[in-house]
Amino acid sequence: MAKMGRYVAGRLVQGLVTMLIVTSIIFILFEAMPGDPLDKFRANPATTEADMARLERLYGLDQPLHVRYFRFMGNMFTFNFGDSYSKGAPVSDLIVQKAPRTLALFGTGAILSYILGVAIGSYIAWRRGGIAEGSIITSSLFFYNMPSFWIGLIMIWVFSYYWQLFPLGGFTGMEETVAQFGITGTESYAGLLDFLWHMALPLFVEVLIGIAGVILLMRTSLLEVMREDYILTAKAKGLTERKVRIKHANRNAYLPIVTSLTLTMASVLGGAVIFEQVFSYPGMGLLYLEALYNQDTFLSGAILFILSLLVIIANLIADLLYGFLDPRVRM
Amino acid sequence: MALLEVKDLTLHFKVNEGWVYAVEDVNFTLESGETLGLVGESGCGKTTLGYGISQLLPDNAHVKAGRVIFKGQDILTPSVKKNGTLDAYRPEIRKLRWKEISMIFQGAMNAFNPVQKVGDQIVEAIRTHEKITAQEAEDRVAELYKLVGIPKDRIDNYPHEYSGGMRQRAMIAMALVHNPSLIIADEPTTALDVIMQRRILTEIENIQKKFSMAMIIITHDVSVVANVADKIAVMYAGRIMEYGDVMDVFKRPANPYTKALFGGFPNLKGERKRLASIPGNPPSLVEPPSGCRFHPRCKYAKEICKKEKPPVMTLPSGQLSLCHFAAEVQSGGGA
Amino acid sequence: MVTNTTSALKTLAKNTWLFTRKTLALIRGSKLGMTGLGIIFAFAFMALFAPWLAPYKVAFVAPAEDIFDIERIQLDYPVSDGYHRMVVGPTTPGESSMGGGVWFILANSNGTIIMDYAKRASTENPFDLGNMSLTLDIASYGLQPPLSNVLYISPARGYNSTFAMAPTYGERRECGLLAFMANSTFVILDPFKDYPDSPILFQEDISFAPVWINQDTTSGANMFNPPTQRKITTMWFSTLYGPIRYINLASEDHIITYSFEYCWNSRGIGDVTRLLDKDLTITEEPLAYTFENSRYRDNTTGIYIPTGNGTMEFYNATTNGDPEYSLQFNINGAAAEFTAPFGYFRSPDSFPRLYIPTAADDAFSVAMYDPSSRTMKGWFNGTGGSVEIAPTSAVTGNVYVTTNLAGDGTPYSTVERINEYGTLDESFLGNMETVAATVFPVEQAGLIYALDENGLVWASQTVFSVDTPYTDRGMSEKFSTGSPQAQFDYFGSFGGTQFSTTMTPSEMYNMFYNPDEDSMIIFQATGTSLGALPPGTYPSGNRYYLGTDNVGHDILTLLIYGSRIALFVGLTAAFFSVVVGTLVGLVSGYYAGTIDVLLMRATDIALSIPFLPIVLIWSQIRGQSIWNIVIILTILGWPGIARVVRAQTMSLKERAFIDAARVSGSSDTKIILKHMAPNVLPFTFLYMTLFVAGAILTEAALSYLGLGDPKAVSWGNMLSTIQTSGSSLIAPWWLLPPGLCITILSLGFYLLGRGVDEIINPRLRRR
Repeated sequence: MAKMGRYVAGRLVQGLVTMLIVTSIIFILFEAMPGDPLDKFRANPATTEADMARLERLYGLDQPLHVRYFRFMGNMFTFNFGDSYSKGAPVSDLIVQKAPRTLALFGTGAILSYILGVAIGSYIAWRRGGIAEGSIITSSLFFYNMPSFWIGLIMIWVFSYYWQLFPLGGFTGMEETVAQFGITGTESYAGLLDFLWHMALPLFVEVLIGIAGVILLMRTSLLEVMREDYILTAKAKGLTERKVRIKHANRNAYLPIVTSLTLTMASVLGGAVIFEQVFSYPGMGLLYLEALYNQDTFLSGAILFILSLLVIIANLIADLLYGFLDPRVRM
Repeated sequence: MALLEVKDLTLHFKVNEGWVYAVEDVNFTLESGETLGLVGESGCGKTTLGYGISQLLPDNAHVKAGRVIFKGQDILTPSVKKNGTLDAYRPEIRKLRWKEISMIFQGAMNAFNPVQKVGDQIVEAIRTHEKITAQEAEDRVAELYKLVGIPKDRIDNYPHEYSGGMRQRAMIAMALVHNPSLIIADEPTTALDVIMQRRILTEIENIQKKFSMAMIIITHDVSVVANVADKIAVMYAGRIMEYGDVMDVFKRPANPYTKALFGGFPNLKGERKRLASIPGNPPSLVEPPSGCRFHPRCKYAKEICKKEKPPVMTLPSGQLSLCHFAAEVQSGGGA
Repeated sequence: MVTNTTSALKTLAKNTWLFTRKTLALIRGSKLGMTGLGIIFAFAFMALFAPWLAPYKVAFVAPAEDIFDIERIQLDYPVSDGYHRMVVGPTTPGESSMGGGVWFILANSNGTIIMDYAKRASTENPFDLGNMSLTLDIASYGLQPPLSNVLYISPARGYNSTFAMAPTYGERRECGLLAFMANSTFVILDPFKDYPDSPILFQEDISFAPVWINQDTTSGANMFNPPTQRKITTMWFSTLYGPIRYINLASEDHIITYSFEYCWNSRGIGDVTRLLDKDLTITEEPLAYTFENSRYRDNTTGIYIPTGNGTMEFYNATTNGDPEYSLQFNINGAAAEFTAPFGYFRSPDSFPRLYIPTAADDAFSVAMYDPSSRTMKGWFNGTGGSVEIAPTSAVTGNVYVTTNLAGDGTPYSTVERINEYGTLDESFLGNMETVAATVFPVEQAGLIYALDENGLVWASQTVFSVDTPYTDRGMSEKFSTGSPQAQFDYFGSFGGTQFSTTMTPSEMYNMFYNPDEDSMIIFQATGTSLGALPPGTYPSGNRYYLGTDNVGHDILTLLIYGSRIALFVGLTAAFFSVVVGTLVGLVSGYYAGTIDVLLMRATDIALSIPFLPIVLIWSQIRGQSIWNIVIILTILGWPGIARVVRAQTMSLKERAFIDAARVSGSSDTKIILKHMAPNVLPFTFLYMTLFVAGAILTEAALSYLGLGDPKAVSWGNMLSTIQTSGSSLIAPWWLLPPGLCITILSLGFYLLGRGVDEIINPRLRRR
């Protein structure tokens, strides 16, 4: 187990270093953007002198480059993000409000996709041939290559417009929920229902897209594993099919899946920007778009930082999981 | 009663291009404690045959004919489904696996699950068939390790932490956990150097004598067979070309193939002769040659060899040979 | 050293080519690979042969008749009764939302006047909603035929005690007056007064036969401002007053101008006085111009008379029969003659203008005259033709001048757009092949119409997009009214107004009336936009197999051309990524050490950065263009490939043949290029195909967010437009095809990659 400890420590350090470099890149990008972020504040008559002074001190915009850089890094890592001029609130407040929504949607979506995808992929790999395999693979291929926003638009069209089963967007909207379910809105479960109902369609689409890749990967991985000698050994030992499948085959097939988690995490969270736009889901992605549109650099920089942090944390978890699953990397 | 009787076993594989005629009309018997060497070039079907005994075949294997009678019971026929494929996880056959018939795999490079500790995998082999506590199972593992010469503290290691030779010995230890009546060893020495080979073979022999286990050794290395086997079956292109007592077949081969095969091994002691190798290549099992499958490469081949499948000829020395001219071949003429 | 590298590169190239051929041959054995390749070839074919495959050109926009639902209403009249030109009477001029309507008035020489009222509230037939028809016989009022020159005098906007209240037009239906000539009597009549109330408000015998009868521009509802009642406040009392109306009766040697006060029925018309009653040589129709604008001193209201010798005389209420001033028009020193009635600017928000067409010999000149400052602002000059139709101008200060030209024997008309200083606007082309009789722009709808001498209606857009080639501009024939005597006019909206700042294009209607036929047809000038059109065949005869988008582009055409961007971005981004990634991977795997560590860091970072948000910032910094997308895709893509190549290189490094090469003295470069690269290529190829799939999806996502090149025709842009135009829920023929193409093309590359993967990894092949 000491080996495990060393592995964990190693990965943590790696994560930290990566985070430092990524934040530096963010700094460079924002330096390259035209304009002075504080101009917007200056232009807004509501900003007081005290506010301006505080912000200037915070970001040290009149200081030379290296001072600005260290200020920036320090601010970022202490989560000192300043204020959003376009929303008129401290950035941290905004993020704290919106981040859980994004995480709820994408976290749940990712977990569901992987669990379901592994189950389905493993099922079709064992039962080779047949209509189920062909149709599942074909539809997985299609969904894997579909633009997420397109399938989102179509689903909205089918489920929200045509069949009117789900709301057209947004995060909560008690009036809609009341109208749809015929409740009064004051029941104890009303809030939860409202929230779940609004999240249902984006979550469905999210899982639909995510599951495709996992199915394909799990199937491929399992097909390779099934050829291995140790599967034959397990069979030869007299184990039931179920034991062979789950304890020996799947267990090894998970490894590339976990690796893929690492690869896809960045794109899934990045894709939140588009996805939330399609569904008008007020999470961090939508906030980011608004921030860019309004040239609100403090807000967009902070969100970028948080998103990268989330990706790195997710990758870390994936790496740790992999280390737990595959003893060979612990050496 | 013989421990194992294989009668007219015919196994074909279904592939995209058609059928692979892997094993045809195989017959042999094995007594308790006996060792059979199953010999042949790569791709001759010996592995399929060996694995087929405990029905460890892939999904596209079809049993076209035959029976496998183990300890008096036909274990094959009940496993064959309507479409000819095998029900590979039938409870009766599972019970037999490892408990009665265990295996030693080739190379053992990948024969262990890389994400599980070796000890656990052996314990699994034990506890699948016996209801004993984990501790008792582990104790047995320790005993066996002692037998094969692996330090006890390695039980909790992972396969990638073992050396090649150690893995092979662990494999052997695992095969022995239930004192099975039959061990099928697939190229047990191929990946090893000569010294290790010697050690392993001696070990196997000892164990066999001690526990009176029957063994089928699948190998292309004839010298191994010569050392440890009682009987030998020489396979070519899915068929057993010659079968009998190992010394008889070795000293007085009655089949052109066997003859050519043994001619290919340099004899250190004998006179210097040119190494005779067999011209040509082993045939494809998808479209095997008609009649006698060896006829394209056989220097004794006549017209009939091309047309008719040769009968099983019993020779005075006791062995069986699949050749139209078995007797003449044995006596050395007719070339 | 150099030659070694060159020859090594040559070998690499040759090996690449051989490998590609071998792979292609092998792919034939893989069903997935073949499918993928097939798909890719299909799209490549589509991209290459787009101009031949696409049913329309890239810039094609469906013609107005297809994308606009043009409402047509038909009204039947008895033919034999010989009606004259139709007169239109809006009851709430200046404001189409006042609840007013339109009177359609027909009169014949026998003295019969038919009036039909139409108004709009919803989609009902406006005449049904208007629900009022009148038939008058002047004989019943003791008047004598022949009846001619019927005018509708529009009601004024009443002054309310506070202007905060909505202005009223009386009942907004039974308001307005008729004026006409009955034999030699000039009559002003209220058609809504019944016997025994006398409808005749004024009648007077005049002793000459007028050639022109018209009213002032405001009363004729030809200005944006309606006639408006005024309030006069003195010290002791205030009184409501006006507005003053002017009616000209003129012949070539005499003019009488009547003036009277008229608001709407309830106040009658007050005294009718003669502003003018004099002998004068008059060479063109006189103009009574009333320009109501608080910004300008009202020194522009008055009668502008074109007299002989190129002199214009101006009369108003103060001068008691004498002209306040006269203006001389010369061309090249000689007195010009007036060739058409004066045009005028209708909008109240800026300057008053008169457009005065003159000609002398072969030259013509249209003067841009400011009657307020009494100065000329500019001239539009030309030769070889003459301006015989009043220059028309409404909203923007642009005036449309129609010149009749004699072209090699066949005369034709050209409509040209001039600005207020007389400068020609070259971007507008209005050539016709025949001679125009009437021209009017419906500027707020962006259209200009002309009726030619044969009764053919021509039309053109007034605004063209920059990409439209000049050959596609110009007036084109639209339809035939059926007779050279037909009347084709713009009459405004069913809300009772002709010109108004608040009218939308869908409220603007044209009408044509053919006295030889039995009907009048009213139709919308532009119509209501139908938005995105579903697939089918349309009035213009065009077939849109996949329908159109909300602007009128053919979806199938856009789809075919979109394949170009998709393939371009995908392949170039992949290519650059692969080149950079492979080089780095080879070097890193072979030399290991520091380079290797740096590479691993780079890969980790590339994997940790959320991809899309970074690309969004990049687009903000670098601007929106296809190449920027390619660059950022390359930057983010090469680490992935480098990693794989590195792994492969490292395992190759241990192989025996590399040692042999090294021992035999090959340089590192040679080893890398000649021995390692060819073995690494399969993986490179595999990743390239997967990368192209990803790049295509990314370009689509970026375009959807509005960050692609907005001018490019791409599938992503199509999906972006559908969202921003709000049609995403109602136009599946527009929503489905681009996404489907993106999916299938991406799938094609993915399958190809899988096919290659199967070859490298035989274990995946089906047994």
